[in-house]
Amino acid sequence: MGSMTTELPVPYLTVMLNSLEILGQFMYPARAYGRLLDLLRSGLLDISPIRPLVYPLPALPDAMEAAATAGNLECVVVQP
Amino acid sequence: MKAWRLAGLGGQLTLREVPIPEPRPGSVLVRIHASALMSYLKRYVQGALPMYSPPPGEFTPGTNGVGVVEEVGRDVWHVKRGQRVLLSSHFVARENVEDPAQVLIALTSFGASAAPVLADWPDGTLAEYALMPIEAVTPAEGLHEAEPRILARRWRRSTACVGRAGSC
Repeated sequence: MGSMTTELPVPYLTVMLNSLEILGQFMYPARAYGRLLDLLRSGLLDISPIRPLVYPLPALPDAMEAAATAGNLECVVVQP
Repeated sequence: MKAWRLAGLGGQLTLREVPIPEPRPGSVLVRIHASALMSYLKRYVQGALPMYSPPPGEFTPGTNGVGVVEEVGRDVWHVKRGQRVLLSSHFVARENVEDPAQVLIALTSFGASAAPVLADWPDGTLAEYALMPIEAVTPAEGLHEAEPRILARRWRRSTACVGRAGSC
């Protein structure tokens, strides 16, 4: 999961000696969102540390700039 | 409705007035409340990510979002008008075949068999409304209500399976 455009160097001996497996995973099951919402509803997942950075629809160019440099706990959203 | 339109990767990105899409079978029209931006959206729009295979021609970008169902197409049975929903861009062809095509709506297809899927679902959430296949829509109501009993029941059921592989 996740997206990046750089190569991922692998410490070969560490992987081999520990019988590690490296698996790629494209996206997630369709019900994953629903199960995530269950965690929110139950109070088991606290997403309050995530700060939304809100832009109006016409400000998409600024929002894209902000998204490119946003931190892990910032979520850039555009609201029509 | 107002919608951002991208004339292909590296092309012009303009906010324009376009017709509100008509619901198709197996889809819902969603009034967008918020569209979450990917960190690499700007580079994608600029055409700096050559590994992506976008929809053909001009399209509305925008991936995951949240909104309210405005209209329901036929062949949709659970999701209702007025429901708050989460939208995922991940769409898997619904045919019961070995390796169904997968796309990220309004972003990219994967492989030759997926290109026609993306051509059928080219437009995303950076607009006032988005038409989405129902498979990419998750009801998102009651988010502020604690429902620990439901979760505890599921948890018990899942832990009861430990050590009995294949039995549940």
